[in-house]
Amino acid sequence: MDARADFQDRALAVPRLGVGVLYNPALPEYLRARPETYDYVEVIPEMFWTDRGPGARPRFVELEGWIAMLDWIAAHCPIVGHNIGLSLGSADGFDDEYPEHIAEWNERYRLAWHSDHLAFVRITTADGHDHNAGLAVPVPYDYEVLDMIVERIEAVQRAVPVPFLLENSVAFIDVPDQDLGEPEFLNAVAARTGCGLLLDVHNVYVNARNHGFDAFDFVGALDLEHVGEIHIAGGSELAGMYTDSHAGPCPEPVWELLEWVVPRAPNLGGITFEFHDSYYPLLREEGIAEQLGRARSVWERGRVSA
Amino acid sequence: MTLLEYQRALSEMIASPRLCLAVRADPAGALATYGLDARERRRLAAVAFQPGMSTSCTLYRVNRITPIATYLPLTAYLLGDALIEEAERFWDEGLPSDLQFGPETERFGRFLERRVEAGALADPYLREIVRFELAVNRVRVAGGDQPLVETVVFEHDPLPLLDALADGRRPDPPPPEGRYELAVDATAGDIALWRVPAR
Repeated sequence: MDARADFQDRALAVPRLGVGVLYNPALPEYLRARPETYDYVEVIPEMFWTDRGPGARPRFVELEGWIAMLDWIAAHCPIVGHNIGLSLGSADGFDDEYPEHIAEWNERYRLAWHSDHLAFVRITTADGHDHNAGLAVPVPYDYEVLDMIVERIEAVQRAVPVPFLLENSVAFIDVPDQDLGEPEFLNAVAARTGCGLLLDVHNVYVNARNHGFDAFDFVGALDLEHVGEIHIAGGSELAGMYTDSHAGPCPEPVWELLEWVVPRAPNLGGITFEFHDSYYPLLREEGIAEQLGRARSVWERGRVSA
Repeated sequence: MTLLEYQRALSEMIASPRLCLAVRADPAGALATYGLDARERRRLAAVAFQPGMSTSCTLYRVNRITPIATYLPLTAYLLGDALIEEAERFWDEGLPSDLQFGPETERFGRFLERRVEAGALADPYLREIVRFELAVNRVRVAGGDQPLVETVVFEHDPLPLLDALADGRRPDPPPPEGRYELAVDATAGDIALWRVPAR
């Protein structure tokens, strides 16, 4: 089997898990009390360690109290990894130690799949400092960037032997004169690498609302057979724009997008609800269960009609 | 590689509303130090005017102030309205930003200590509270060969001071002055505080 065929097999190997929730510090009590409402837990590995930077030994120092909770989760249900630190779009180079560490985590926690964003979060300044961009900054959808992203995803796939999914980003700015549109760019990355897509339908809604395009046109332009996971979430207004703040329950347009996409995504492994822990008082246990229950209804209807 | 220069310029615009305004006023001049091609210059000149750039600048600042407010809450209380002003001054020093909460908080704490030593911040409790909260954060996440117990030197009796601040008020009457040592101990998991007996 050649390397590309192997990558494509890994993409197709996304297991069908069902409905999950993105872990945050408000969730331990819920996870213990309501296991019947979720099939897996997605975790952001960066929440569980301090990264002392490339070359440091040890580089990734784990937070022991948090790891204890992660071990509990792993003993009770599948874990999905959702990284925020690969910075696939950084033009100044790729941090090879990062996927190696994800591979070590995969050895321990047997990730069902893992993912990161189509964006950059870190860049080296002209004087050699590591600068964190403060948010996931979208890359220009140009052919030059496409080649770079493909090369990096293939490096991740070589290092971590579970399916890798690439997430569509929120873009507050609208970069003019790009070679490709975002759906075409995502399709091309998936086709060339065999990676899956993590389709965040709330991110699509955010961009559509802020930039005035039709969210259904966007998802309709994607090759949905590549979609291995869907994120759903809520948002809020900030500085004149609607943001992906994960502020409580999903708005109705996000549910409508989910209803449309799920039956058209034959390789979908799961639907993950994301909320920020500061919104737990708004949702509480019943609110989380209600969001997950609604997602499960869409999942089950979609599985029947797919 | 001009893509790198483009990303540097864009990320520095997100970190600096002043640079955004400069690009709006004079794109060629403000972007002259970056090795950009013509399309990248056009792109940056265009996005500088977009509402989304203002939102990005705001989010950047929210994301940088969050660890400070979260992990140095008593320090933030003592600074009050001066918190944002000091954070702006810290960011203007041009140190690399690190959104890992630990390093970013530690750097800001060190910055405040320097400001106190320089006489720029006069709150009598600020230096010891900064040291205390930095110690709490370090032992809370200590791993490997890092210590689980640290001793913090106070110039005021720490227990009435910490009790008052935890209640959201300044101590009244002021706690006795002197040299006090307080151990911050994470050996049992949760943080425990105990006075180190005077030698």
